[in-house]
Amino acid sequence: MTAIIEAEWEAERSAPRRPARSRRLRWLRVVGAKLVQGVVTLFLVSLCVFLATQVMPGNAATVMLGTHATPDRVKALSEQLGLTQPLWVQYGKWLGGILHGDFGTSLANGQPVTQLIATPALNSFVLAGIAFAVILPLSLVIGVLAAQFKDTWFDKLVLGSSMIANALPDFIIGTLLVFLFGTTVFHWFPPVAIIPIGTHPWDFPAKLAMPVATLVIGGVMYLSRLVRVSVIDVLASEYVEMAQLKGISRARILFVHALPNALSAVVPAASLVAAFTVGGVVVTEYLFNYPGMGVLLLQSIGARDIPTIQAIVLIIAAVYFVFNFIADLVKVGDVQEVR
Amino acid sequence: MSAQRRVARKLLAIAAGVAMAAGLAACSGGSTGTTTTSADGTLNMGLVGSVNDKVDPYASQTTVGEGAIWQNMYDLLTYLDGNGKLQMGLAESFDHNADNTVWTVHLRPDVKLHDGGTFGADDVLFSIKRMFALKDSYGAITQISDFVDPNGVTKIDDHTVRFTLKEPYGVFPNAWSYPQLYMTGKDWTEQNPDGTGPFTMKKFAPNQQATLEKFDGYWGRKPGFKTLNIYFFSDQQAIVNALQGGQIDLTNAVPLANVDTLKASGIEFLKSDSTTHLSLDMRTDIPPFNNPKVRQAMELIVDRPAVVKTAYNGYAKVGNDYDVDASCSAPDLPQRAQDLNQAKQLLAAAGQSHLTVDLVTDGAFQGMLETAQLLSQDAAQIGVTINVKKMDTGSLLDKWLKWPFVVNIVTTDYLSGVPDHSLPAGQDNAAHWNNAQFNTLATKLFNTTDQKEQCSIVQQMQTLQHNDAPSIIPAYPEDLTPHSSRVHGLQTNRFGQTYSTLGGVTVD
Repeated sequence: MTAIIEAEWEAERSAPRRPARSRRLRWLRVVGAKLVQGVVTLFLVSLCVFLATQVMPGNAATVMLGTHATPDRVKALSEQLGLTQPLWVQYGKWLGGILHGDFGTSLANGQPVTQLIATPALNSFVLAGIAFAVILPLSLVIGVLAAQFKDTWFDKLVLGSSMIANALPDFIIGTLLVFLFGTTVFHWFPPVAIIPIGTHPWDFPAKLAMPVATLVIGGVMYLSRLVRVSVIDVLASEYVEMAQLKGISRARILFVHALPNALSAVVPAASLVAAFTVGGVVVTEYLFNYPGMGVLLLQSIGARDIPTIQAIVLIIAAVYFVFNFIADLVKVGDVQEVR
Repeated sequence: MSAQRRVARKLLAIAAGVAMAAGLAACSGGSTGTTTTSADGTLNMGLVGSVNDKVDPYASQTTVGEGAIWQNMYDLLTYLDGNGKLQMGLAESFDHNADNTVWTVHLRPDVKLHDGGTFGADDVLFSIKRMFALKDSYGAITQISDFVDPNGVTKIDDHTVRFTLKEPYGVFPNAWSYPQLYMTGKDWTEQNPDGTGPFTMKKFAPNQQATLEKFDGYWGRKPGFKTLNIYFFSDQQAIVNALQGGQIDLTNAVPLANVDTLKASGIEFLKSDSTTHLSLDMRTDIPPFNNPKVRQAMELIVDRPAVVKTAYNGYAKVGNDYDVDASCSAPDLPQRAQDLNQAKQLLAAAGQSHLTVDLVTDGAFQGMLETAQLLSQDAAQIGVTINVKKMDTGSLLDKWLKWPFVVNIVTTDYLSGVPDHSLPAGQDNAAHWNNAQFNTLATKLFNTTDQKEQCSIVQQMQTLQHNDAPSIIPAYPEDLTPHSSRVHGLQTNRFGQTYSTLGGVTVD
């Protein structure tokens, strides 16, 4: 599907100039195709997750009953939970519910899934949102600086740190942060994000510090490298040379002329980083006991709570889609701009 | 200074300023990391919890966090004290007929319910009715369903209940000490969970937090603080970090590898002997373990002191292949020790010199995976292959009672544990052990009311379990309860309930 759309863009790029109305229609067509692609992707994701949960040994009934799970009791509870119905009926019911905005009922505790995931999802988006709000400007600054001071100690430091950070999983980065700033070397930040009932994560900036830092380190070290490369390319262009000859200050060249042009290459990567950040909260939340949907997802897998697993995976998949969609729109916009 | 360097210096100065401001802002947001508690008498506890946790004591218990809530909101008719001695709870006394088929329970008078009423016979009837009504999902009912007929429970007066049993049962008062057979008020609902325990529920969000407040009308020993916050965790390591960072004061246990680190950072540990132990159950009804020689060989393969040292960091006693009874002295048995030569001979005699088996575990409790791996290494020395298979709990439960060789855990007292772990119909009898002599002794045990006689029977049963070898019990771990120096008055408990038994506990 992506290849088709890419081809369309290429065709768009090379096509003879059309009237503005025709261009708008064509743009809407591309956007429409992307939306259809997104819906199909989400459907396939939900199907894959559903099938994967069926392959997992055990079901919600065996987990709930524990070692008291005699065959009779498992059968009775499975029937009560609707797990004895044919697979296609179970999936169809779930899908029908989704189309009506109903994510179903948790098999583990009988609550509506929407109600169950509302607060954890909000908490996860807060964590990921703050992290990304730090990642983006910090990556731009570091990337631009590294490009400006290419091959100096600063550049080498950025590249070296980037290699190390990219090689370390979030779990290791977070554990190191806890060791350094939470429990052992310094006691600067709470090592665990306990959010009491009736409060919100943003009420406790100190508790957010290390989970955010865990996500930020990985994100910045990846994105700043891309910014650096992109800015280096732009700095080598003729118009930058011209600007230098005109005597424009270096800072103005970097941030007013070079950076905006470098962004077109960076935005798709930034969108991906944003998506990864939402995905990455699963591990980070687990490590810091942050009450988000990542922890809920892991527990739901343990409990074989299929409707909750489905809902969370769909949310994460939808976030991936949205950010990719934004990146694509920017790209389409670029094509229009070029034309 | 070149233009390039000037730009660099300016930009670096901005970046440094931003970083410093961010650092200061974060520090000012609460650098101590502690939750505000001490002055108002609040105890912050951290326990593993789950989104499935409920305030309904008749739900299937999934986490230790849920268990702590129930223990502090509700009471039992009887309970076992920290030394394993039976004590009266909501019941004041029991009478029975000659053949132990009719039991009369006299309830403690003047026990207040959280909603202001007085606990009585109607509440007992309501509770028992609910336990049996939820029989499809309420696992603990199996502890009493063999002998209690819910239709045979009648109210004699406001504080007297009569049980007409399906069959004679001599240890009826002990049965009600099982830590899930709680009594609730007759007006109990999920939204208004009425009980008689030392705390009332104020706020509860599964997998996040429960806030309980001291119940001033409690009939028993009251806690010496007002508020109990239980914070729920998904991961033991996060609990360790929270303890070390001063965010919680008390938990039930930590991975033993962390004990020294925590001690170095000021965390104290209260050590108790414990009846909880691992049991590596071998299916006695199918090959190769239906041959007693093979089972005996396996028990001679394991290096018990190594298990104590490696799997429990020394916080355990060497096990001797029988379940422990806290209220009776140990049987007079020789300590089983590693003897690889004899094990080899036994396997050769059984035609299993090159035995290959899978040993499954979910590694959910301290020592499970380590013990399995140590056994595997020991077995390899005599050509026996034990493949340790680690899986998640859902997968383990999917084939529960079907695994030929599994790492099981026994957490209850002896009288509650025997029907589950060692009798043919037991749902925890992963060894499928069915020893006629043992079963006869069990029937005798459950039909006697004389405690001295009970202990004599228990020792005979333990001897039979040791000799017939359905399970390898390589160690009897100790229970280490970690707590901050703010917490005082915790009592040792042989059933792993030091952390949740809060009568008399105070907080600085």
